[in-house]
Amino acid sequence: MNTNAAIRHGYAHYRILLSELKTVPICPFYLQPKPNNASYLQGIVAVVHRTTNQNISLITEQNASKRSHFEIKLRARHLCEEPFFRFESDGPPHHNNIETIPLPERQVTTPHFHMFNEDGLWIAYKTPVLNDAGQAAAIRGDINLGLAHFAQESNLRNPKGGMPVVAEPQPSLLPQDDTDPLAGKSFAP
Amino acid sequence: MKPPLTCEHMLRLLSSDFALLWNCRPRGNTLEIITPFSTITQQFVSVFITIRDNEYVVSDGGWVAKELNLYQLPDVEDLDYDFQVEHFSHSFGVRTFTHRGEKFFYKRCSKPELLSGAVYDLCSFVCSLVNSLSLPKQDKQEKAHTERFQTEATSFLVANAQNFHGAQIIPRFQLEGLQSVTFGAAIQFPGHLSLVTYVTGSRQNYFSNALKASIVAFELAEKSKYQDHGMIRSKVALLNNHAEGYAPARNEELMPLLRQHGAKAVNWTEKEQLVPILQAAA
Repeated sequence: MNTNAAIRHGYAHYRILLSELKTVPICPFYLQPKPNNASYLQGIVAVVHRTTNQNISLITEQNASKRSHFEIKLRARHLCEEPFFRFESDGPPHHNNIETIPLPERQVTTPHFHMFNEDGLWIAYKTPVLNDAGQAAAIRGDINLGLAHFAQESNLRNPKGGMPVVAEPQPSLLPQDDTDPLAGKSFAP
Repeated sequence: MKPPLTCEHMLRLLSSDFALLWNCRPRGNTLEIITPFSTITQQFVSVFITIRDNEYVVSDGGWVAKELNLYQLPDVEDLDYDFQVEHFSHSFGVRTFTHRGEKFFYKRCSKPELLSGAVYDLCSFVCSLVNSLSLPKQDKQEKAHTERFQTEATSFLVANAQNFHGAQIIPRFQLEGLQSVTFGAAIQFPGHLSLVTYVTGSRQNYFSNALKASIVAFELAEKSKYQDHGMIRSKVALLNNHAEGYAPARNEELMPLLRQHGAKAVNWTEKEQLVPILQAAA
């Protein structure tokens, strides 16, 4: 299976990036149509980390029509090209493909977080909040609740010490949980 | 405590663990079924079941399409994507439905007893497509280049077969017990053989890698039972000095290693030398 060598070699630095306080100076920040993929809105803002001057970005992406589909991630290109921490509100469950984990426990449904383990393997996990069906549904229905939980998990704050906030480009129309992906599709033969 | 090794106990253990991977999420008038099928991108496959015109429709929910890309496909060229979609759609009897730019893959079935089959086929389709598109692509240009030189070099040996006194020319030859290396060809005389490696590359690093592989192949051959029994008489590395990756200065340090294993290097432009070298072994 694929593992990230850069993370594996710099795991101590990785843990510091993740655990130490980080600040998002722009609050609120805005989502705009994602270049090259009109299905998504995207917002990329710089993150200030107190132990490094390297560039770190907070990337927020939301499906333009399925608002409960969103992803929030942190990227530090000096460490590796792919994001180093990620939250997914919806989508397929992740497979933690680790031989020592019993099969039924390898499946982690969305919403979930992703981080690297010390072997550089991308693993998914749920917090107690995400394991609570009611709170998980509320987070999927409101990107700012998702962002707040993401900030809590990754120690990210706005300059005043509060949670970062994303301003949606238009009032949230129906960010409902469990929207039917097949509604209105006839599947006519 | 371990369960006893009986069919009954093993089936119970395995089927109950697998069964825990099936999950369901209602989504309006549709059910998302989370399945035990998983992809090499570390995702479990979900299918979506709904009813249209009194028939079941089993769909991917639009999750495979490049726009949504929830199975974490790498960037792939449209041509590759379309080709593989067509191939696997045909293999698993999956149809495509497009609605306002969203693309869905689906199967229909009318009877409940056929539903599992439709889910199984759709999951197999998603796994096959995602896995296939996620494979690292071999450099096509290099592959074509290597194959071309293999063909030319083997044709040259075959054309000179009469000089080898009836010996058999075997392309892509492996020594018994040495499955990790393949020689470009072997000239099999009665009771002994000569080994030829083909060294080429469309880029310098490919050429160097081919030369290194050639050295390893001769080293392993030298340590094999064939050498012990005196069966290997000559070893030749045929270097394609027409190749774009041919850079003798870069491989200066490697050439002595080739000679260390009793192998001779022959340039493609001097390939006639191959014949006397290989003949001498006869």
